[in-house]
Amino acid sequence: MTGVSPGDRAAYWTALQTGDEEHALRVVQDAQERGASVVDVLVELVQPTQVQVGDRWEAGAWTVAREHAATAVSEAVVRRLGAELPRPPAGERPLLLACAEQEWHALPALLVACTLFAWGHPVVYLGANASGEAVVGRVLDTGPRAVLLSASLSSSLLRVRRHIEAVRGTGTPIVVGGSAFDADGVRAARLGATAYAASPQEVVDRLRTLPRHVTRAEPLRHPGAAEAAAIQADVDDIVRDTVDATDRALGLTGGGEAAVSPDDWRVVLATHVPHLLGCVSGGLLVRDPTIPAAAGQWLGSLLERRGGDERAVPELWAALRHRLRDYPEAIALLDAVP
Amino acid sequence: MPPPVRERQVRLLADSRGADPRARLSQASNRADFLLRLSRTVSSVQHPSRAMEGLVALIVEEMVGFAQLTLRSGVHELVCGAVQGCELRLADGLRVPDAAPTVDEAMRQGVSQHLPLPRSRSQRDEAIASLVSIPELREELDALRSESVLLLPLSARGRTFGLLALARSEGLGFDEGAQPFLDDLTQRISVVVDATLVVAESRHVASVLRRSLLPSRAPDVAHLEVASFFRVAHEHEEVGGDFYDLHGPDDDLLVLIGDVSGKGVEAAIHAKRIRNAVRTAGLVRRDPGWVLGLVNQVMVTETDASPDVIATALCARLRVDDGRLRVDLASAGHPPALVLRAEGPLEVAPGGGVALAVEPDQAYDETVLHLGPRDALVLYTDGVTEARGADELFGEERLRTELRELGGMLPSAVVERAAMAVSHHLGERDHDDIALVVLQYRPDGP
Repeated sequence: MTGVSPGDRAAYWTALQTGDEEHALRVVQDAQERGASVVDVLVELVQPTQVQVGDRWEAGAWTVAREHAATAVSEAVVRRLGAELPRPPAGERPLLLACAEQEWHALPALLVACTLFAWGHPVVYLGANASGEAVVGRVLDTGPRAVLLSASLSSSLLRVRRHIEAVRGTGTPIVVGGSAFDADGVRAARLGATAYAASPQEVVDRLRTLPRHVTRAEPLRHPGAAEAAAIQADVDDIVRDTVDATDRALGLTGGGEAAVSPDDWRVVLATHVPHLLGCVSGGLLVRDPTIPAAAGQWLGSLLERRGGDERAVPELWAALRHRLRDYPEAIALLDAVP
Repeated sequence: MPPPVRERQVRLLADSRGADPRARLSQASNRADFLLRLSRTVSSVQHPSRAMEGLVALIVEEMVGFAQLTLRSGVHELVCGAVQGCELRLADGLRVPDAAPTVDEAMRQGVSQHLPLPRSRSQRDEAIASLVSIPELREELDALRSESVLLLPLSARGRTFGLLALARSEGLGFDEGAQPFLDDLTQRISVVVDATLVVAESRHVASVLRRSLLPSRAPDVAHLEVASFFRVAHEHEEVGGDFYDLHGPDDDLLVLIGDVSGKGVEAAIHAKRIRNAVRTAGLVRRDPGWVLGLVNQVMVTETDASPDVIATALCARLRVDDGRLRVDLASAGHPPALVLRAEGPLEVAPGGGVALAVEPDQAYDETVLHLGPRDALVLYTDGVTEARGADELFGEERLRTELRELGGMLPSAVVERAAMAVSHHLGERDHDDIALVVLQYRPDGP
């Protein structure tokens, strides 16, 4: 018996649909008065409804703007819950929690921060899109027990690696989590993370065995890593050429993007090219061809639900393959894409 | 039962003076290896208590049964100690006078010495208590049944700032032959720990400075929902020349956004002065044109010292007026404010005007607009519109496009949406200071 009822969930969902923060807070307060703990609210109200929000956007039923508005309501709720929790006792080393650079989905990390906080762990939360410099600066100021790094997108793996290098350079253990990683922690290990955790509970479990000090990250010397770095250095040109070639193949005029809604499939296609390229780099870095394959499939379904041309993703792959023809490791990776 | 003594520990500190050359060579190599690992473990840790933990853990793991490291910086004291096989103990706080007289005395004398731990119960308790102030650690040290503790003062830059205390289990001591090795160890620890102190002290100064320069936290105003995004150009300095402020009574607020030429700490200090000047001016009169005029006058007379400093700013006075929020707005060379209506097209408020600190006696015109429920005022600096992309600047037009469908939404959603677009546009290119603030009128609360 947790105090969160199906009725609460329905009411909370209604609040998200209308972007009504006050309504959402009332639902949470009611549940708490019936005995729901902060963690109950996070796990049984906020988390499942946030999955629904993502689904709505993926299905094309919600605009980007609406998705952001709903997410903002849940963020405000979680922040309010966090602010009302008692401070953990001073003296214990904090956990420093951040999202990788260009990771804007702060809610999963915020949920983790709030849960750990509710369990009595001191948490320093740096939020979305934290630069390596910001993270290292906080490491030096707070001397955390460990850095927890959240990444939702597999296109972030290259930036995750940079954070791992920076944090391990200070001797601090770094635990990674989020949907950018596989459940077995293979990608995390290949990137040099000290550990992988799939949930707040796993974070706590890892803490028991986590070393107090870690050594510097060894450089990644395999050929895929070198190509990923080279591709990253040339990312602007590769993206531009790929978008142009795809537009030509599909008979799109391009350029008129500013006048089109951000939810139009052509805009979704163009804005996802950097993500897809990031997934290629990420796949190269951790030697996992399923990463670009999954990203392509996902983009295909996004476009389909927005009435996109079904040739779009195959043409995009063809354009990318042509553009990356001088990168043998990348081509080998793309050959594995069905 | 004393804990089992590790072979490696014995080897590192065994008396090898009478041993054969091979044994001595092997010991020398073990010691060199240990010192190297010690340096590697902590040289990168630029945080004092973390570095101490690393050192103590390694020393009790590899060398002796007990180690306690004390570090003093001003009135602050950090103590980290452990007995092999037990938990690491840490005490971090203000120094308690006379809590550990042996530590005080050894640091004052500044030379290494042995502290005998007598067998007699009361004398032994007294000796341990005078060295160790963490109760659990006292018991653990006692159980080791050591006969003495070696006290090694830590010195660097002409001062003694800490003490390393080491003890071995019953029957094992520190002989003369180990002295050069222990001196080397003490020297290395001193240098490493001193470096972490230097970093910590300068970061402390920087963070105090930074706190005073950072954009102030917006006060909670019942009818106003505010969200903001800041990104500084020089991330390692963590401060920049973009500024934002909101102050005054709930029914008559002044909001200010602006941008000082230049970046980093210097720009931040000028930004802080402008914020202060506006606050002071606002206590006298609250019409934004007059406020900017006065601030301009202050800056013109002050910039003699630094003639390159100019700033743009936008100042608005917010008052509830018959169910709407009346906004009186004045601009000093700042990008125009945008009005994001809950329903309806995006509006561009008049901007322009002459920047601050350019001309004396400058007058600033005011315009008036009204916000209905859930209408929002969007303020930003040119770091947003001049964010460089692969081919072009982000631009006013793009900002307006991004905002177009966000009318009526929570400001945090609006800010996130716009900040995301700007950051994606920037990729990993360098950028100017960036500030974006959205203030939404919510007469019914959140």
